[in-house]
Amino acid sequence: MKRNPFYWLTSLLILWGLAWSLSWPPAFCQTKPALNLKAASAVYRNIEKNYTVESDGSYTLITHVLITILNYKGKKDHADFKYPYNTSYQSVEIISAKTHTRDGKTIYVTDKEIHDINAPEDARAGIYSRQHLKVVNFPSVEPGATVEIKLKLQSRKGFWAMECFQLSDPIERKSVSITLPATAKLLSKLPTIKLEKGKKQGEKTITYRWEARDIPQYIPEPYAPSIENRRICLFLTSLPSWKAAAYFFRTCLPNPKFPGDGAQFKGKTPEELYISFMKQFIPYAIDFFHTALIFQRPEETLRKGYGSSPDLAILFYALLKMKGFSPSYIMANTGNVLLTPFKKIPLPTLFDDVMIRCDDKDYAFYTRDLPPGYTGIQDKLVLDLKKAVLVPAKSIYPNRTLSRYSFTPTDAFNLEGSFTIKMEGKQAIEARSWLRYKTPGELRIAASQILHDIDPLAQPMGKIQREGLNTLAAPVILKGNFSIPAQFPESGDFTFIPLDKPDLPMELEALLETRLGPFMVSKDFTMDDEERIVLPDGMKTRYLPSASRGTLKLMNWSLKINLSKNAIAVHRIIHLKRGILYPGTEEYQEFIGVVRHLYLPSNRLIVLEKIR
Amino acid sequence: MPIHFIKMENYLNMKKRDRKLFLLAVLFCLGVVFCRPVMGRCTDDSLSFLKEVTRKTYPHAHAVLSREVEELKFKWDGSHVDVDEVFLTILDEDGKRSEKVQSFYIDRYYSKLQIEIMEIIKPDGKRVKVDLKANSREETPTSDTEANIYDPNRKTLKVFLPNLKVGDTIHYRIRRDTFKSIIPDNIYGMALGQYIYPVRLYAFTLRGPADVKLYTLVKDKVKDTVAYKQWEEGSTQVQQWVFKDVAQITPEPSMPSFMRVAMRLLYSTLLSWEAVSRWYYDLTEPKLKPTQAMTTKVQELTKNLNSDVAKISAIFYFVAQKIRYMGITAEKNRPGFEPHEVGLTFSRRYGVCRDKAALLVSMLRVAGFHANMVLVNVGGKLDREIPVPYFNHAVVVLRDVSGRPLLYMDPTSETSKQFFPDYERDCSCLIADKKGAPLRLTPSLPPDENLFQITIRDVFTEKQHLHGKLEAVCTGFVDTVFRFMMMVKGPVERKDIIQRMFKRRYPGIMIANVSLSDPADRRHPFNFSFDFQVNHATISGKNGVMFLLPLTDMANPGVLDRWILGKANMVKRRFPLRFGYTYTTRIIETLHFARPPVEIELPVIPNVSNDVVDAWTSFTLKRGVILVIHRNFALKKLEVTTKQYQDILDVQHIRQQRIALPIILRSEK
Repeated sequence: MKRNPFYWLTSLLILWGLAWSLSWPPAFCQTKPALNLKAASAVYRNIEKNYTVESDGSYTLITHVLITILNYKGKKDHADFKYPYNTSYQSVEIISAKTHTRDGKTIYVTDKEIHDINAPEDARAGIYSRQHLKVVNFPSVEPGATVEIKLKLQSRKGFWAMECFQLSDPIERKSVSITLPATAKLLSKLPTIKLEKGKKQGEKTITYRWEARDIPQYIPEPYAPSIENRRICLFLTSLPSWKAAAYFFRTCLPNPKFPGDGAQFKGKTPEELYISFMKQFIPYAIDFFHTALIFQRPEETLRKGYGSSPDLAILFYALLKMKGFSPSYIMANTGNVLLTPFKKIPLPTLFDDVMIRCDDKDYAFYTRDLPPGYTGIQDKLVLDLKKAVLVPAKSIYPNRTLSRYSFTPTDAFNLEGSFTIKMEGKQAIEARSWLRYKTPGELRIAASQILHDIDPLAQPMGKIQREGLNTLAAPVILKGNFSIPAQFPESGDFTFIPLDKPDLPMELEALLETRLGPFMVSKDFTMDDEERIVLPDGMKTRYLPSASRGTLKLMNWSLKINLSKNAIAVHRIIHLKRGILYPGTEEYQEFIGVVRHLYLPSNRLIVLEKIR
Repeated sequence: MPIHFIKMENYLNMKKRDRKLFLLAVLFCLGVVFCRPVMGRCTDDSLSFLKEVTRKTYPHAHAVLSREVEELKFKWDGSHVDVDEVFLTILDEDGKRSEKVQSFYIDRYYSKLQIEIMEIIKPDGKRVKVDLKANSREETPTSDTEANIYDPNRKTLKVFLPNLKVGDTIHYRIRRDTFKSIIPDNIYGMALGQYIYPVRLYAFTLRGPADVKLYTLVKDKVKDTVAYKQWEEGSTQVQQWVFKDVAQITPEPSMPSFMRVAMRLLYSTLLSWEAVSRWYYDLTEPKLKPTQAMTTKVQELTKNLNSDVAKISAIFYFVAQKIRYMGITAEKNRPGFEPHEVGLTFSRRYGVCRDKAALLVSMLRVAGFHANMVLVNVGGKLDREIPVPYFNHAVVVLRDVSGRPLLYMDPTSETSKQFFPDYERDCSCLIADKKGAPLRLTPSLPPDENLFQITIRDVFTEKQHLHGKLEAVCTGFVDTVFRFMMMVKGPVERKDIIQRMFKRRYPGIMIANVSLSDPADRRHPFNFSFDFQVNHATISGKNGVMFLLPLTDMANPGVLDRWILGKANMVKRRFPLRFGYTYTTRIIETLHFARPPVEIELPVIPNVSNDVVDAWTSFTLKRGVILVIHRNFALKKLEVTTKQYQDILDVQHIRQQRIALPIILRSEK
C-alpha cells in the first residue's frame, strides 16, 4: 500500500522533533542499555556535539560527553581526557568536568587537574607547532564511575569536520548537529552506519542533525585502513568544491619572490636544484594543520637554514620560479589515507603536507636525503593548487629490495658465502639514513649486525662494500663475503637448508582467517630475493619447494627453483600493491591462502640426500 | 662531560624490531635527579684551540668537545651556581643532525636557567649570535606527558640552531642558579669525562666552603687523560679536574648504562648512603599518616583473610590497580621527590610511583606490617663508593623485625601478579630508614621463576596433517608481560594476540577455540589454550620417507625469546651485553602417530649447558606410537661479558639450525 507523501514527512518531523526535544537526556542514568557490553571496557552513554557556523566559516563547537567506565582498560582509556586543538586559530574552554562515582557522589575536577600541554607528537618540530592538548584528569575513577565533560571549542579557519560514529568503545547515543547561516552550503559524506537525520530551517539559519544509537565498538586490527577510509565517519564541510579548498591553501602559501640570485644553489634542472637545496637546510617535519598556518618568509628560511616542511616548500617554489620554471604547490597526505572516496567532498584536513610539482616530478620536504622526485606517496591523489583539482602523485622510484645470497660448502665443517642487497625507494632511504654517516666504529657495529642476520656465527671476509649512499637518486647496494664455521643442519643421510620467511615490511603470516575489518596494504613494495646454494660434495637434492606464481588484487608472486648439476637457486619475487581487502570476500581468502603457501615451513625447506 | 649530553638514541641505533621497550614506558616517575653541576668561564677569547679540531685531527668523529669549562660554586646549604661553557665542533653531517637542537632542562621549583651565550663560531673565527627569541621554544617535556605526568614547572628549553654547518663550533654558556638543593645542605653529582664524541679538553672545577668535606672519585679512569689539583682561596676550597684528549666511546646496542662504562667523576658532600636513606625517610614519613577512609579500606580488604600473604596481596593489588598512574604536583617542600599526602592519593585515586608507594606503605602499616619506601635506579647500578643518589623510581619493601628486606613491591606495575617486576631487578636501591640503610641491589630471580611452559598434545594424521591442542602457562615476569598486553585489550583482541603470536612462530598454523584466563584474576598464573591444525606439516620424499616439522620446532617459541635473546644481534661485541632478564621457555609436545611409522629417525640437536644458558632437547618414543619432545631454554644471566657472549652466539646458531631439522619418518623399510 502506498502512503501519502505527507504521511512520511509528518512522521519524520514528529520523530525529529522528539529527538530534538530529548537532546539532553541524563543518559548515564539509563539502566538498561540496548548494547551488549560484555566485551566493552567502557561505554559512551552520550556524545553530543553541536556546531554553530558563522558566515565567515568560523564556528563554535559544544561537546558534551558521558562515559561509564567498566573495567581497568576503560579507566586507562578515559580517566585522562585529551582534547587536541591548534592555539593559533582555536581556543578550548572546559565548561564542566566531573566524575559520578558508583555510589552516587559527584566529584568535580579541580584547576590542578586541568592542563594545557604541547602536542607530544610535534616534539621534534616544537618551534613550529601550535598544536596543544587540553588534558583533564578525572578524579576517583573506578569501574562503575561515569566521567562527564562539557567543553567549548572556537575555531576561526573555516568549517570542516569528521565525526566518527564507531569508536573503540560502544556508543549508546551520538548526536551531531550543525547550525549554519541559511545561505551557507554544506556538503556531507555519510558513513555506512545507519543515522537518523533531521533538518530544521529557521529564518536565518538552517540546522542539520544526525544521530545514531547502540553502535558496537570498533575492534582494532593490524593493517587496518585509516579511520577516514573505514566508512564509519560523517564528513562535513562548508567548502563547496576542491577549488575552494585549493583557494584556502593558496591563502596560506604565499607566492613570494626569491631573495637574491640563488647562486648558492647549484644546478640547472629542478632535480639538481632540489639536491643542492636540501643539502643546505634542516627540515622539521610537521603536520600542516599543526602549524600556525603562517609560514616563514624566504628571507627568514635562508637566514635560519632550517624550516618546517611548508617553509622549505615555499622557498623552493620561489627558487624554481626565479630560475624560470613553472612550479605548483601540491597538498599531500603522507599517512595512509586514500583520497579516492573523497573526490566529491573537499576536506582540507585530509592533507598534512605541502610538496612542489615541477616538470612532471614531485618534490617533498619532510626529511632530507630523499631522492629528487621521491615523495613516498606514489600514485595517491594530491591536490594541485594551481589546477585546483585532485590528481595522482607522480611515481618514479619503486619501493624494492633485491637480495642475492650464495652459500658454498668449503669443506665438511665450513661454509662460505656472499650477499648483495640492493635497495630502492623507501628501503634505500632507510638504509642511507642508517649507514651514510657512520664512523668506522659504528660501521663495525652495523656490519656485525648485518652478518648476524645471516648467521650468528658468520665472520666477515673482507669489508662490506657500500654503494649509492651518497647519490640520492641511486639505489643503495651492500655487498660482502662471509664464512660460517658450520655446515647446513644434517640428520642421518639428509641435509636441510631452510629458506627465510619472505622479508616484507608487513607480517603477513600473522593475518587471521577470522579478521573482522578491512585489511590494507598502504605502500607498494617489491621483494626480489634469490638464494643460491652449491651442493655439498656427495649430495643430491631430495626435495625442493614447488614453483608457483600468480596475481591477486594486492599481490603478485613468483617462486622459481633452478636446479643445475651442482647448485640450487631459489628465486622469490613478491610484489605488494596498495589497496584494501574486505574479510569474508573471496579476494581476502585467496590472499590468505597464498600467504600460507609462501610462509609454511614445509614450503621453505630444501632437503639434500647423500649419494650412495 | 655533562650528563644532559648523553643521547639515548645512540644507544638505540639498532634494528627497529629490537626496540621493544614497551614495559619501560611506565617507569620513570620520580623527578629527573640529574642535577648537573657546572661552573666555569672561558677566559680564552683567542679561540686558537679550535684550529686543532679538524677532520684531519679527528678523522673518525661526528663532533668533538673542543673545550668545556665548567665551574660549580656551592654554599653550605647546598644551593649552588653552575656555569658551563661549551665549545662543540661539528665534523660531519651526523654531528650536525645530532646537535642541531640544543635542549636544556628546567625545573623552576629548584633552579633558574639563563643562557648567557649561544653562538655559532664559523671555521674562519666569525661569531654568529643566535637570536634566542626567534630560535627557541620552551615546551612541556615529552617524557613527562608520555608518562601521564603534568607539572607546569618542569620544562625543556629547545634552541634550534640557525645555519649550522659542518665545521662550525657551537658555543654556549649557561648559568643555572640552583637556589634550593634537593637534599638540604648537600650537593652531589656526576660529570662524564668521556663521551660519544672525543673530548679534547674538559675542565671541571668545584668551589665551596673550605670546611665542607667533599668526597670525590674518578672511576674507569682512562690512562693519562686526567689531571687533578686542589687549592684554597681564603675560606674557599677549590678542586679541579682536567680531562684531556679522551677517546670517544662508540656505544653498542644493549650495552650497560653509559654511566657505568664511561670515565666519570663522582662528587658528593653526603657522608654515606645511609644519610640519603635518612633524608628520604624524613621527607616521606610525614606524608604517610593514614586517613580514616584508608583504615576502613584496609579492614575491608583484609577481612576474613588469615594469612599475611593474603593480606599483603589484597592491599598491594588494591593500590596497584585502583590507583591509576598519573602525576600532578601538589607539594611545595621537595616537589618531584616527596609524595602526596596518602589521603589525597587514596581519595583522588591517582598518583605517580612515589605517591603509590607511599600509599602502599601506609596501608601495609595499618594492617600491621613493617613497610618502608625504597628508592630505585631502574636500569642499572650506581657506584657504591660515593653517594650520588641518581634514583629514578620509588617502590616499597616489607621488612622483618630486624629490618632486613623481605619483599620488594612496586605498585606501579598495575596489571601484574608479580609484586616486583623483573625490569627492576639487579638495580641499585636504597630503603628510606629512620636510622639509615645501605645501598643494596634489588634481588634477581632464577630463570625458572619466569617460566613460559607450552604443552602440546597433537596427532599426526594419515593425511599428514598435525592437529591438536596447545596449552600455555606463564609465571613470574612472563605472566607480567602477558597480563600487561592483555589488560589493555578487549576480549576479542586478546584472542587475536594469541593467534597472531603463534602464526608468527609457525606460519601456516590454523588456530581455533582460543581460551584464556582472565588477566585481572591474579589467583592463578595466566594461561591460555587453543586448538590447532597444520595442513602439510610434512614434506614427502620418495620411498615412503617423510620429513615432519613438529610444533616444537617453532622459532622463538617463548614470549621473551625474540625480545630478550634478540638483543644479541652482533657477531662480535666490545662491551658486555645487558639482557636485563632471566627466563625459561619450555615446550613439551606429545605427538601421537595415527598410523605408526615403520621407522622414526630423530634429529641430533646439541645440548648446551654453561654459566649463561641451558638449552636442551630430548626425545622419548613410547611404544612406537607416541613421541614426546622436550625442549628447554633457560637464560641464566642478566648480563654477559664479551667472552660469555660467544656462548650466546653458539646457542643462537643451534636454535636457528634446529628449526630446520625435521623428524624423519619411514613408512616402509
